[in-house]
Amino acid sequence: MTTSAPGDALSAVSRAVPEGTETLGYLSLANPDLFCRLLSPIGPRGGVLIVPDYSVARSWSVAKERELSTEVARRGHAALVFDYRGEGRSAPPDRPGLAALRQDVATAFETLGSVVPVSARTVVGLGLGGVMAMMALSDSGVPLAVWGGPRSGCEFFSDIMRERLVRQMGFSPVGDTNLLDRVVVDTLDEELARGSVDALGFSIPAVVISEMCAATEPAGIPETFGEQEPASSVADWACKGESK
Amino acid sequence: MTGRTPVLLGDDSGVFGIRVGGGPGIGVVICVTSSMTDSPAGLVLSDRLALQGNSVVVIDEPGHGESRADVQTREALDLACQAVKASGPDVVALVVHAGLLDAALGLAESRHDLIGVVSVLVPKADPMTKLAGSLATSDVVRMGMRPSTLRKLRDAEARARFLRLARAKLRRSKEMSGPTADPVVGPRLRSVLASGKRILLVAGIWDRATRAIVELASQNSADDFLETDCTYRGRLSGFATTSAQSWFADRVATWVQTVGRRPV
Repeated sequence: MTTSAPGDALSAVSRAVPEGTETLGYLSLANPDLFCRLLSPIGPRGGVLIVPDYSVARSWSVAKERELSTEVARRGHAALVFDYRGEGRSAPPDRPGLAALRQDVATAFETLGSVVPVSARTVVGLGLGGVMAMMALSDSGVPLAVWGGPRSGCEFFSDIMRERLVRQMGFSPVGDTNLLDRVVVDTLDEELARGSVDALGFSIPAVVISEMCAATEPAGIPETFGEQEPASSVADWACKGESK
Repeated sequence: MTGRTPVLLGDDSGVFGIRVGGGPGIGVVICVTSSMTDSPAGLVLSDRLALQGNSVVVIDEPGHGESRADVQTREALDLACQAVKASGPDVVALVVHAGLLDAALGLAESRHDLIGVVSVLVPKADPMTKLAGSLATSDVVRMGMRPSTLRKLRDAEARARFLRLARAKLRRSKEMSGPTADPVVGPRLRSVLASGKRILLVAGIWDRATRAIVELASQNSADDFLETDCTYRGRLSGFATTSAQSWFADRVATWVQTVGRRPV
């Protein structure tokens, strides 16, 4: 066990794991509020940035992130995952919105470069994280793949609202014959007016919803892996940095 | 900087947490289940407590987030209590979700310096909680409607079918839910309250099962109870919106200060 952190880490702790070293904390000099998890073997040959899915979909992606980072480390590369600002252990942004989320992706990519100083770098985005990565890093020329997506911002929020509706029905009293109409009208407009929406236990700023739904998706996804694709296949691609 | 410092606790670094503040006031341990959903609510509360001069550690429950699964929950809570006390506080309070109430009360029985427990409450066996989860997944899938394709609900026939199923489920769950004073938690609640320690129960769903535990608590020298108006599923993650998080943080922080000034 160690309690130090690598490089220019600002505030982090490390512990030994079978794949190498796991470092948890605030690793970015550019944004000291961005929480990162770095899994690195000794002398990594490359670095993989894993861009998580957003908000409630993170529940789906967090297990995939772990699987992928483990597979990547077993192949001798380091893997870095982060929490978007306002989620997990990252502090909220000064001004929530799509720009802040894209900036988080760019910052995490820079952080990977500073803590794993090797030139071989690739990016894997999960679900909506794939779209975020494309928006933030398409100009960088870094090899990028999407796993379990991509979904547009509009699709993403539509899915969440439908699922929320179904769950809310479970809490409604027996005999209510107008559940659907009542639940929909009840709170969503009020929440939007207050500035954030409860998305199955996550708070999504209203401005993020409107900006994402209005955003044009970037064209041309370099590589796409289906949701059921095993992490080992994605890791194979990520550690080669080549096409499937 | 946020003033948040990551920490690893235990001989094998199995428990991960974030330390916030470091004042000599009260030591507060907040245990979150899922790092993505509970952490924001826990960290908003920890910021508020730190501003009041307290010392806080927000840990991931073993098996969740960054904490390993092979650590006992009670041991993790105990380690976190020691960690917050290291910066000066003489007394400690715990904030846990409903599933950890028993472990928290057990620790309160053995640690004389643990003066208060806040539990975000919905009994584990609450059928309504289970129902909500099952409606959102299994039944929807069984009906051939994946959550992502629920737009079919716009179709009148599918909508009627779904509502029939939902009502039948709700009826069954109502029949299932009797007085459910937990046989383990109940005696521990009595014991902890009798020793002069305080318990704050926070609930979002005012159902029969929740009421049973709250009534049990109130019959035994009574303590505080907060009923929230936010959508709630048994964890801190019920405090999803920023306004709900702020409400939760204000109320709990005030309660902790009151408890900390009170001699045990």
